[in-house]
Amino acid sequence: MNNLKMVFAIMAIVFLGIVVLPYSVSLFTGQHTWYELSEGYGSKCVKCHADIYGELKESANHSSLDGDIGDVSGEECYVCHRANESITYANASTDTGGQQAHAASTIGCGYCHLNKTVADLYDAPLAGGFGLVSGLSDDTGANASHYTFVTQSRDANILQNESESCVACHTTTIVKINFNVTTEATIEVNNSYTETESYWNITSITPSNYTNYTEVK
Amino acid sequence: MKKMKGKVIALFATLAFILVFVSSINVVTLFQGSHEIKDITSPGNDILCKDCHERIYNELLPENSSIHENFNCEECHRLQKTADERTITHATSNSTGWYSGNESHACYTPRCLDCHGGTATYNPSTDRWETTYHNDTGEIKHAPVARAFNESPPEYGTDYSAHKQFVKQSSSDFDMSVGENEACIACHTNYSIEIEYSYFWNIEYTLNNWDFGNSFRYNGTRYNTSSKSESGAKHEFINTSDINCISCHKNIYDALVTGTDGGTNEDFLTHSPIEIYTSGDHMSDWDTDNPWGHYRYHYIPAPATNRAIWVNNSYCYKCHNVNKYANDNHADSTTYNLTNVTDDTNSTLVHCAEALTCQTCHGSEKTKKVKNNPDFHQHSGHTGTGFVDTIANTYARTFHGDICMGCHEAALHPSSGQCDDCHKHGRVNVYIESEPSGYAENT
Repeated sequence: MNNLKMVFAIMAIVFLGIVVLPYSVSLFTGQHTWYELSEGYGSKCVKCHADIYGELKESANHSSLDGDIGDVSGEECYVCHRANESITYANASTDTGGQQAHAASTIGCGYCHLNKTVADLYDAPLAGGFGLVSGLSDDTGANASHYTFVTQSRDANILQNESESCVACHTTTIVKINFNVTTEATIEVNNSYTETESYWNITSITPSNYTNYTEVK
Repeated sequence: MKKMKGKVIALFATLAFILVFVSSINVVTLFQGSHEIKDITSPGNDILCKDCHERIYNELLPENSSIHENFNCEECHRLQKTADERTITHATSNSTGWYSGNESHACYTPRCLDCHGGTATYNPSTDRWETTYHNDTGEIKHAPVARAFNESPPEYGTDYSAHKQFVKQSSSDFDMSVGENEACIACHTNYSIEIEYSYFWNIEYTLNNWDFGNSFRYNGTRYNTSSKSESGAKHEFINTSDINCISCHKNIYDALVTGTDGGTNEDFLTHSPIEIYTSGDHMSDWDTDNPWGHYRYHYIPAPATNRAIWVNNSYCYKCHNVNKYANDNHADSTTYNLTNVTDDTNSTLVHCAEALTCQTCHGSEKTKKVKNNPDFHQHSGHTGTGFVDTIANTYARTFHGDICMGCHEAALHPSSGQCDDCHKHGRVNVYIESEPSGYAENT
């Protein structure tokens, strides 16, 4: 019985030796199978960014940026992420090595939506009403309630430029907002007078008695 | 043995986790959902304000807000044309295409006068003067006009509006809110307000034959604070009828209701001329009517407990908005000839309250000009002398009321033997403090 087991074990080792020994094993399977980049980049983006691919499939906009309406292939990715004309991307077709970026660059929403020239190229709607659109003289933003949100987003450095504010409203991203608002104002009213003339004068209006609360979108 | 087994399990679990993590080919986007763009193609606003502003949404609910409770956010914050015909272009997308916003993107911060200002017309069906604006859908809507303040800035109507300076300076000097909204919000919402007033402490003068000479003096500075303490919510709008004058003018209320304890002598309360005793001897059994032949208009009769009840908005309107008081109290209109009194005032030209002095109603050309009391015919007082006009023309308006009240609240005046000094010869020394004290001596 023991001898029989021993025979089988030896046969197995020999068999494995026959199969394995002529080859060395690559660390990552497939790492020497190269893509043909001229076929497009899209599917390659999806390989790593399947979550974004999933979002884009559900998205009301940007899902047909590649011109293919009704199908999200991943080709849409580089319409935005290789759109920046000031960046030289790596490009096999033109035998160009990347400079500021290789495959993709991060991009702010405003690159297309706050620039009339670029927006016209892509037929992208302009985000007017903040006084930030270049090339749109009527865009004063004189009364925009969210102006400070947009402009201060530029200081946040999480996403590019003011994109935090865009994403907050225009996407399904969960947003938690901690508000700190005034509930009272202190008004100083002074009666200025001489013997013959007098008038009331507001010398200050100061918001006070702040309260905190949180909203979750 | 058990310990060893646990360690082996933990080791395998860790290895399994690492294996799963490493073998995953996905990286995770910074903000989940940031590539899932919302559909904004419907004619309305597709990005719900409530998602980020639920607290304000709740403030506007009918149980919290008496006005605007039937409005959605867009009614005000995405209106298309203001009452003074300014167009507000918001970013929008609909079946005809997309439109970039100009003055605003998603929402704009309106001035209250964007709906309540501008030209007003009378609407018989609602019995009110109304302005016209175009709401978020372009529908023509009407709003009650903010009388006087609807007139083009920086005028805001006539200087007779008591709160004009507040509105004007809110617009020009302060940027807590857009435009003049600080003033609107202060009165018309549950936003809390604390007002710190400063004004003169007292005045004194010596009257001799109805002449002040050079005796008039004002002294000191009084600091007084009134608090309108509410929920603090700027989107909880309150009915105009529920705006309480006393909230912001507690010093006046205190002068009227409490004043300074006069003990057994007459009470001396500024703003509330002498109380009327309806029983007692000849000297204190004062008439309940007056020289104009009707019951005293703005007196508060004894007992003193009446004051806390009688001093209310309606009492304020008796002087500060005669037109409104007359409209609200038709019976009184006849009794007090309020149609003519209204004409004597400027109450039809003001927002809610008129900045006035005693002369406004009791000047020499007015319906209620000073008359001698027929019950005291031997005492001519300052009947027909234009004495009130002289005060109005000589001294700063802030002193007018206290100059008059220095005598007319009676105060610590002698109980007998010196009637002619004051009531005939116009000879008296007066010391009177400003509100809320109102303490006065006239000897």
